[in-house]
Amino acid sequence: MTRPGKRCLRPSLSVLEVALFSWLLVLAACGPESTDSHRAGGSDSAAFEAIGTGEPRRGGHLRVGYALEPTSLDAVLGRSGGDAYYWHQIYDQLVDADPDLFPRPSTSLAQSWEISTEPDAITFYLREGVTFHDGTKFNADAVKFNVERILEPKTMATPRAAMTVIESVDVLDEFTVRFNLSRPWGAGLNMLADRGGVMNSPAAVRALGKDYGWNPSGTGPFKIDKVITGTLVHLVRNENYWGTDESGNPLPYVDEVTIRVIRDQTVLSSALRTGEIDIAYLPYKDVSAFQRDDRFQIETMPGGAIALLMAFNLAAPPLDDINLRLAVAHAVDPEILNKAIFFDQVIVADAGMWPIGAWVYDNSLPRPYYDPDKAREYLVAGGRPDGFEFTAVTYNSPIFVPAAEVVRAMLKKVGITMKIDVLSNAAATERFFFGGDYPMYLTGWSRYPEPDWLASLAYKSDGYYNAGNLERPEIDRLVEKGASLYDIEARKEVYNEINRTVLSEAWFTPLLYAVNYAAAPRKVRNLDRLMGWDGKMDLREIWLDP
Amino acid sequence: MPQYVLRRLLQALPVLLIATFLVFALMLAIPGDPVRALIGPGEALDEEQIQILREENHLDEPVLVQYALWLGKALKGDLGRSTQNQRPVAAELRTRALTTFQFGLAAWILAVLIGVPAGIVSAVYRGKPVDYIATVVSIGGVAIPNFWLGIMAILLFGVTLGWLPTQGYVNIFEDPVQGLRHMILPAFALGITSCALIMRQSRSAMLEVLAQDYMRTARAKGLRERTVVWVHALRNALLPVITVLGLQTGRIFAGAIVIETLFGIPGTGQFMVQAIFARDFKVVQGAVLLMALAVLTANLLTDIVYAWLDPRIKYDG
Amino acid sequence: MASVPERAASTPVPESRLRRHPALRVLPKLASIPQAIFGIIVIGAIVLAAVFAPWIVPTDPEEMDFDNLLSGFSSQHLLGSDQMGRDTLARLIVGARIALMVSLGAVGLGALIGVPLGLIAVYFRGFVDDLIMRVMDAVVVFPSLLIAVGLAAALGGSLKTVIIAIGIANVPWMARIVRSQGLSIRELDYVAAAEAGGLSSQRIIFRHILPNTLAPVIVQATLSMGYAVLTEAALSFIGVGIQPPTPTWGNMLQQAFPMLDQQPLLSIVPGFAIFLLVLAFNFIGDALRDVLDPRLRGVIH
Repeated sequence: MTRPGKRCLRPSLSVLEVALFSWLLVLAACGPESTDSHRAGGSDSAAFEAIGTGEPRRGGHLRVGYALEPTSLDAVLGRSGGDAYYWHQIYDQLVDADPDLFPRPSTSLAQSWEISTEPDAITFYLREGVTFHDGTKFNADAVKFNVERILEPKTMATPRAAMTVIESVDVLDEFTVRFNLSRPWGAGLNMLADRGGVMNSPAAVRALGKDYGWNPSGTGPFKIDKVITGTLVHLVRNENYWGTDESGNPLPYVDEVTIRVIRDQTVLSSALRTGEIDIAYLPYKDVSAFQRDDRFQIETMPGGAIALLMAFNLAAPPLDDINLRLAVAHAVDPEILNKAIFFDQVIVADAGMWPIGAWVYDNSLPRPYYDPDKAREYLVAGGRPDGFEFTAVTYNSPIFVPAAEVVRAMLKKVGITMKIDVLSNAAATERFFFGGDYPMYLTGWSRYPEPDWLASLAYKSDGYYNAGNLERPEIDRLVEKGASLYDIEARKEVYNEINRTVLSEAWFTPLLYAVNYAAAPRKVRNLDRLMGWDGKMDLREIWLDP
Repeated sequence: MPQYVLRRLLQALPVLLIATFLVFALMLAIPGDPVRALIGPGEALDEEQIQILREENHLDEPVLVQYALWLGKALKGDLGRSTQNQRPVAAELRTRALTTFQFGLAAWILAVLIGVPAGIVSAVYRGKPVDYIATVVSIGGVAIPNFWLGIMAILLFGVTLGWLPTQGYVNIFEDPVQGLRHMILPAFALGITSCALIMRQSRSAMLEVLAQDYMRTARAKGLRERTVVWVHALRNALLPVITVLGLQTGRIFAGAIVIETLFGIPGTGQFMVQAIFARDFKVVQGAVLLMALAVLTANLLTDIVYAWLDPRIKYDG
Repeated sequence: MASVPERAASTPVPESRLRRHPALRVLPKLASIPQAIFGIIVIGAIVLAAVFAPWIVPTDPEEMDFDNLLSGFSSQHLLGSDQMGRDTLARLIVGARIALMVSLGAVGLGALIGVPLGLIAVYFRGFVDDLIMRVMDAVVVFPSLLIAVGLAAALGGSLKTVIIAIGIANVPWMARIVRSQGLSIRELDYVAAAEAGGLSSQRIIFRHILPNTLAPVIVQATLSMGYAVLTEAALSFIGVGIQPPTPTWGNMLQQAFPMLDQQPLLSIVPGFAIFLLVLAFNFIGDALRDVLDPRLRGVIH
């Protein structure tokens, strides 16, 4: 299932980046299903394979369109999941992962590692002969520097919360380094495949200080050349890149890459049609038009994010009553939302907040489905047979505002009146999760590579994204247990256990899972290697026909 | 004259202070914890980091103290860093202001190039069909929402005909052809209101001038009509154009808010809207300072040029 | 819109002339100006539609017809339907109410605060005048749209906050007009004589100045109403205006824009409605200025 040499990077630690510019899908996953979907991709892929058997060609200028500009090119400081479209090209991680989210040493900066439990520690044996873009050497000291930089609170590194389990870092020799842990860290290798495991040049960080964020120096396939703020990022090939393809050819293939910021979805599609750009993720409204157009190939990736969900605050009346929450959850028909808002291009959710493509995904668990009769029963059970009124919050986006209006219309049919407050993204997130001002938030959600990330932040009672912060000691214990186990099957058991509560008590009710549609003209080759585990672009194996 | 300029400058100072303070207070008055706004919606920081952020930004201090701290740094040219992209606000604003300035200038040139001749022609041919057409355009131009005009232009030239790019910005100095192509639609949408106003004003100024005695004298002396119009009347017709130019500075910033958002142009307007949404205080503050400075300067320049062109104005305003 | 308002009041109207033009005599004069007739008909029609909306709206503006998404002109949807299958005509009519409420409310609020401020400045002069006018200058530095964006972002988008935001942006213009009008009236010979003769400042304000500012304030208000409609639309378009599901012409345009190539009609209709209403306000404002204060005629035309 995993092709040799296929690069598949891990999702970033971003929470609501779907929330940022969600009409463009910014994330996706490439789990097992997505690999299948490549094969099932129909005539497009088949035709592509037929002509795509030649030797990869080096050279050329690849132009990519994407909706978000980076918040920083320093992966550790970035605050949007969209940053990964940029930093994937510039950096490598200490531990990389394959499409099934198992660690993959062949593409990692650590060639191997040992996990010990008495005391808890992980020892990494590093790849030799790797240099940063500024010419300095990658070694154990660099790893220590990077981890300590994240752990230092003044750095304001976003992965810090996930990494505080690391108590100290010991340099054992030039290419061996040991992380001393405060407890077992089953989630650790996956966390290191993301922002937290990205390696920056210590010399460049020290020399540039706050300006490092826009003059990054990683070990990755491309080097930064020029940034025009709000417009584009221009990258050039790292001639000294250590990575190779399966035949041993050095990567990357193209000489230069321009990532253009194109916010408007209509314009993104038309730029692709007119040849101004070579690769973009399609807006849903244009998918069927591109599928009919022979000039283009399309790669799909289902479950790249949660396109639409209802998040509830368990402490905010009237939805602090579980029956009323379930009434709402059963009154909303995702099929209609898919049709009216997503042009029938996404998937009705059948599991929890870990969508298709993750090992933790399991659609056998009970969860609320559309059933207006049941909704009315729950209204009776909640003592409000004639319905009730509440105010939901969402934010200003061409997806969520209309979606909220459709949800409102559906709730009206069972007698529930939902008022809608529309705020900016920042304000909506803040006032729902921290202000506790609303009982419900209609939004999207990124995919989580490592289940502990969501569990610790959204399910644990003191979690950053737990709106009600209700004390649920049994859930807290499960979350801690899940994070510490090293065995995947055992972890899955724990997360299913958590999901049973989250879904049946309607903490979060996912409605639709997103699908990524990456489109490119036929001269772009290896498009099936584009979307990493996180569904974000990785350009190192893309090459261009003249 | 120097005294007049000096007095106007002194008057501008309190205006600047009041304006920036009002905005400062307004941003802090937005409901919610400002420190959360500094983090943004995409990521998580822990409590320890949040506390450091709060202290670094002096968020526990009274508003006036925070304002004074900001002002002190601003005077030294340090406007802080954007919370959205962690870049220095001053540098970021400089780049974006240049972009906005290019579009504003293009819009203004377009407005003048169309507005002045159209106004003059319609005055000279008063009551003729040309006059009626020009009048309709000038009345419509003021009433049409400029962003709607932009949408219609995108629909016609971008979506339907595919002649012009509808999004983004290309530096005109690096690639003049693409730069111009990207500039046409937004400059048109941005300039239409000014164009209509210039047309109206130059028409009425021209009518007034044509009715003056010296014009009749000039004609009686046998000067050709065209010479009369261009030489004698033009100078007088310029006055309202200058006025509109002064007002245009404010309008560029206002129009830029919507037009830049519509056309995806990375200028000050778009940046400011993003910053307001993201509650990126320092960017909003910096942009407001820049805008206030620009508008005040433009007003002052307008008054000076006006006074210079029209000797009837005295400097005692 | 900076230029139109501030020009409306550059010249004081001598008290005596206003008396010769009581409100009753304004209407027949207006009726002789074709643009004014056009304006009155358009606004009259929109007012009627807004008032009788519940009876004439073809369907519930929130009713979603999922079988007719993004339809063009059709018998079920005369002016088409949007992404969610809602009827454009119904939403347009309900939106007319909002447009009228915003323009009346915002301009009314602007006058309610601005006129007294102007009078206070005239009454006290000196330091108070300076202080008030400097604050007004500080507000005027910002394009009214920007003030509205800031306030609406701070307070959250709703009918109330949009009215407040646009209203506040209107305050300085009203205050400036009243002040400049008032100051020049104080200079008039007979007023100065009355003041010298011992007439109290209050009486001067209320007997001479306030009535004389009425005409320019009305002209200004009418023109500002058109601008308020434009500002509301722009606010909604960038997403800080009155929020869905309440339909406004501005947020209809906002929701239509991403569907521009799928269904252009959705973008054309509300924009044209805005254009018509603003045009009507401008026509009436221009005509009122001509009628109330012929000396201003030609300043803009």
